[in-house]
Formats: sequence, structure tokens, C-alpha cells
Amino acid sequence: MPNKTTFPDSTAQDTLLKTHSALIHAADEQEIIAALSLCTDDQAYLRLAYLDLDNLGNPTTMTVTANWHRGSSWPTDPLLLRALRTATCPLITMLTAEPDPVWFVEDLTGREDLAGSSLLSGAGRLVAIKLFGVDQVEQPSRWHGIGLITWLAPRPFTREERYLLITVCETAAAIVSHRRLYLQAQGNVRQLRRLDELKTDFLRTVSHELRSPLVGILTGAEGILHGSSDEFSMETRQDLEDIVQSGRHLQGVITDILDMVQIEAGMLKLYKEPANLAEVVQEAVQITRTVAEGKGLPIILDLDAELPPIRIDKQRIRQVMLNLLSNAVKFSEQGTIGVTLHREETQLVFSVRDEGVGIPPEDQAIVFNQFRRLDSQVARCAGGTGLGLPISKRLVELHQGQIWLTSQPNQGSTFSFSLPLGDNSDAHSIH
Amino acid sequence: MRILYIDDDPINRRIMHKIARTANCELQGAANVREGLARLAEKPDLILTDARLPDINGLALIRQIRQISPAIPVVVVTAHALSADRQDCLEAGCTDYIAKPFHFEEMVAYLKRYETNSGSPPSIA
Repeated sequence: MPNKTTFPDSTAQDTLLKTHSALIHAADEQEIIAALSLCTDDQAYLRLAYLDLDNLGNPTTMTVTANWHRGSSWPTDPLLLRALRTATCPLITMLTAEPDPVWFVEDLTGREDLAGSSLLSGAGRLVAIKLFGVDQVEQPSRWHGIGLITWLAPRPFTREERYLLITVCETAAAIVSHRRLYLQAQGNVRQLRRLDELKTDFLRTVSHELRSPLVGILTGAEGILHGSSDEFSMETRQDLEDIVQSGRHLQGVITDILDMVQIEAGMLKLYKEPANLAEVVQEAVQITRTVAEGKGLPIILDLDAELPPIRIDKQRIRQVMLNLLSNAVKFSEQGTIGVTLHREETQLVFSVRDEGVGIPPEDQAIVFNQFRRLDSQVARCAGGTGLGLPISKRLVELHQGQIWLTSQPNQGSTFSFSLPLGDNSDAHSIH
Repeated sequence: MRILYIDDDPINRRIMHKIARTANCELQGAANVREGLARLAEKPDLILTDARLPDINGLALIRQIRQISPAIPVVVVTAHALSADRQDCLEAGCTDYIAKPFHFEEMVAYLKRYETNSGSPPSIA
């Protein structure tokens, strides 16, 4: 092996600079192998192969990714893009044991030990460059590629040839290593995108398959109860009402779970439009009023007149209001339910006050949490998924608003949320 | 009021028929887009449609109806109820969006209010 510090003559120096420059600017495997060819003669056949390693860092398969001969790629190469098993390749076995990164064989005739390698069929002479990964500090034995140069006829290597190949091998290794990391990262991104699409498709299917049969069960039972003129016995009517009630419960659970999953996955999209928030409040109250008054709980409205329009997703904000209102009804046995909507400087604040059981201080901090304690009295009484408040919190936050509560046990609770008015210059008047 | 309802699920179509009858409306069912578009010539007052149908994507259908008969309101009634689906439908130009399962009495009231409001969508919970 020649001394690496030998100063090359000016032609060799020139070749070295050209090869380095071409390697550094190589954009793909083809350009890497073309760059390597600059420090060989025109009789050389060059190949670049990537190795797949097992957990111990030993090569398992090898794929020829690019080749070069006499100024162009060599598309008829029978090994190109083929994955070869390295266990049956004596060259790889030999190289694995070889400590030097560059290995020269001047005459392959009579080398029975290398005869079985398909990489060397017809070759009389070779240079193999082991390409080590950039993380070789931690994994000193991991080489992940090979630059293979073969000639048909045996011939000794000149000092200059040896010098050039030994000098460029580290640059080539680093370039190939970065290229592989880049390809790996690109593959990971592609896979993540595909997983993301799969996740969306899965959710879409789950949503569809859980909701569709409820039309037959829930809407169907409602239709028998309300849509026909038949008279039922008390018992049949009760049975039908049980089906409807269970169906509605299941619908609520499905909606809550899918909402929460969509929010957590960052898939929830708001459809914002200029809205009159007072109208949204009135719609929500109208929906809740029947159940509230059935429990003897009058709803008292106090809404500011002449509120400016606000850009919101009406359906989502109504969902939050309905959730707070139904909680107030659920946890109250007496008193009134007060609903207010006021402007406070640059925001609108909505509140629901009840005179119900209230929430103990230790539970107040966790009612908005997704995984709150299931043994708490609040959760036990509520039934359902307990996801109503966490979903409300996320929906308000998606509107850049805030949600909070004040409560005294046995005196009642007030749940409030604020929505910023923001820049309404693009909102047309809704009056 | 004459309603065209496009949905490939026969159970859904049967129940919607009953809802329409209860609301004193006349309902024509269609199991796919081709059938639905053929019935468009009968000039219904309201179109209810699923968002995904076996032959053509529901969004393309909404756009197509919007082009052929811009005056007829199109209400999407679908179990594809992710927020992205809803946004896609609204952006494609549907008049209103109802997630399945719809409720019998609410749907009856919805159709009745539609008739009274003659074309402007009432709200549904």
C-alpha cells in the first residue's frame, strides 16, 4: 500500500480535484459512480451497490443501483437494480473480513476463492471501495455500500491509481451515506403520508359504518312511534321509546368519540362564516328548553342587543352551547338556568349559570381534561363518554377563545366561554 | 312539495319516504346519481342526497346539480360526517348538511319548514 502522504504530480492532483468536485455535486447514484470514473481509465466498468444490513450490521442483500462504462451508463448490465443475496457472494464475505476501505486485486485468474461471485464474472482485475456510514464513530464496522471497479484484463495498479482511489474513498463514502439517509428520510415521509391517508380513510369508514345503521334502528323506531297512526299498548310504546333512547345515546357516544379523535388528529376543520351569535344562542336554548322545562327548570335569557357579527363555525359553537346547557339541566333539580351573552371589549362572552349540585374544587381543574377520573361523582352522574367538556374546550380554543367555570358545591355552577371578535372587516352585515 | 332523494341505501330511502308522507310531501327515490340526474328533469322543489354514491362522487353531483338547476336547494344527508366531509360539501355548494342518523320528527319538521320558507334552509339540530 503506498503512503497516502506522497505528494501527487500535477495531473494526479488535477484528477483528484475533479473527482472530489464531481462527487460533492453528485445528485444521485448515477452521478456518484460517474464521478468515481474520473479517477479510472476508459477500460473500467464501475458499479455502485447498496447493502442491506441485519441487526448486527452484517450485510444480507446488496442492490446494484448504478453503473458506468466509457462515459455512459450501461443499461444492459444484468445485475443492475437486482437484489443479490450476499451470503452466496464470496467477494462480500472477503470484503467483510478486510480492514482496509479500499481493496485491490491485480489478477483474478486462478482466484478460486472469488470465482462464485456474479459481480466479478468475466473480470480480470478489481478495486473494491467499502463505503462506511457517516455514523461510523458509533458503528465502526458498518459499511453500507460498495463501489466496485472491474477490468476485463489483469494488470498491476500504478502508484498513482492506488493513491487516487484511496484518497477519494472517504469522500465517496460520505456522499453515498448522505444520499442513503436522504432516501431513507424521503421514504419515511412517503410512508407517513400514506399512514395519514389510511387513518383518514379508516375514520371515514368507521364514521359511516357506525352512523348508517342507526337510521334503520333509531329513525326507524321514531317513525313507528310518531309517524304512524297505529295505537300501541303502553308496553309496546315503552319498548319503542327504549330503542329510541338507546339509539340517541349511542349516537351521542359515536359523535363525541369521532369528534375527539378528529380533534386529537388535527383533522377537525372549522367552517367559519359571519354569524349573529345571539341567534345561535337562541337556537341552542330552543332545543334545550323542552327538556329543561320538563324538569321544572325555566331558562332565563339575557342577551346584549345589537351585537356585532362574529366569524365562527355556527354548528360547532352551537354544539358547545348545547353541551353546557344540557349539563346545566342534567345537574340541576331546582332553580333557574340563566343564559347570558355580553360584549366585553374585543370579545363576546357566553355564560350558562345553574343552581344545581355544583362541582367540588378538586374536580374543577379536571372537568375539561379528556381522561378525567371515571370514579368522580360528576362523571358517574353524567353518563355518556364524559367527552362533552373536553370537546367544548378544544372547539372554543380552535376559535381562539377561552372556556372556564366558577362553582360552589350545592349552590350551582357557571360555565362561560369567550370568542374574540377579531378583524371583522371581511364580514358582511347580517342584518 | 316534491322532493328528490338520492341514496343507495334502501332502508334510508324507505324511512325518508315515510317522513315525506308524514310531512305531506311527495318523494321520489333514486339509488344512484344517474337515476337522480334523470329525475332532475321533473324539477323537484328540494333535493336530498347522500355525499357518496356508488357511481359518481357526491361532491361532483352537487356541482353538477348546481350547474343544471341552480335554483333547486340541495341538502346533503350523509353518514360521512367527519368535519372535512361537511366542509367539502359546503364548499361544493350544498344548501345545508345533515349528518345521519337524522331524526324522524325533526326531519318532518325540517321538510315542513322548508315548504313554508320556500327554499331558504331552516336550521336543524
